[in-house]
Amino acid sequence: MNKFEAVLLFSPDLSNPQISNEEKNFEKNIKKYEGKVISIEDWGLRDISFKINKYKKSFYKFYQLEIKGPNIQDIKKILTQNEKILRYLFVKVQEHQHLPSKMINEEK
Amino acid sequence: MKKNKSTMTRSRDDRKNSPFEDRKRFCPFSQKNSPIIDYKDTKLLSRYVSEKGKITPARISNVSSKKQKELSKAIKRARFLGLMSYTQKIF
Repeated sequence: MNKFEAVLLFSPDLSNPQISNEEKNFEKNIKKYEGKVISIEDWGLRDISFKINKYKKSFYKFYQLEIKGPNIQDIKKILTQNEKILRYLFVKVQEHQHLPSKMINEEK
Repeated sequence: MKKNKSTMTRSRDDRKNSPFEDRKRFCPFSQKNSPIIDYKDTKLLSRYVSEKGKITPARISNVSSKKQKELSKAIKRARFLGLMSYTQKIF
């Protein structure tokens, strides 16, 4: 088990229940591949500094995970097939940071 | 030999008094209380990017080579997520 950070960009067309549905799906997938969601942070609707799939805005979600590295490949496959997710990023970290992260502090 | 030595010392003194004396500059990330490089901290990263959005070279920003590698990786991650722009052009 290793520690990972994940950032997901959801398309701005989604309504609130749809977004929470997508989140549940993602968490289910992680549980399916023997992972754990340690904490979630919501960055809300933000401007993207360039267009992604013709969208100027996106919902950002930040996750702290604990999962086996090779299983991430399978999760990535599922995420790419999902059209509601514009982009994702997985980063391996030595230790998890204390929340809230700097992204939220900036806005305040 | 003696002459050479004397010139050496003189040149050193000259350097001390000259206005072009280069001060010792330190890497901003290798100090005790220096900030941690993180792709989520766009405020910090934007300081190490030129007006056009290019990463500033280490010889100008004086970041050590080890930290420059981390920094460039963090900037590239932030760009990929749309937190920073690849160019200055605003869409």
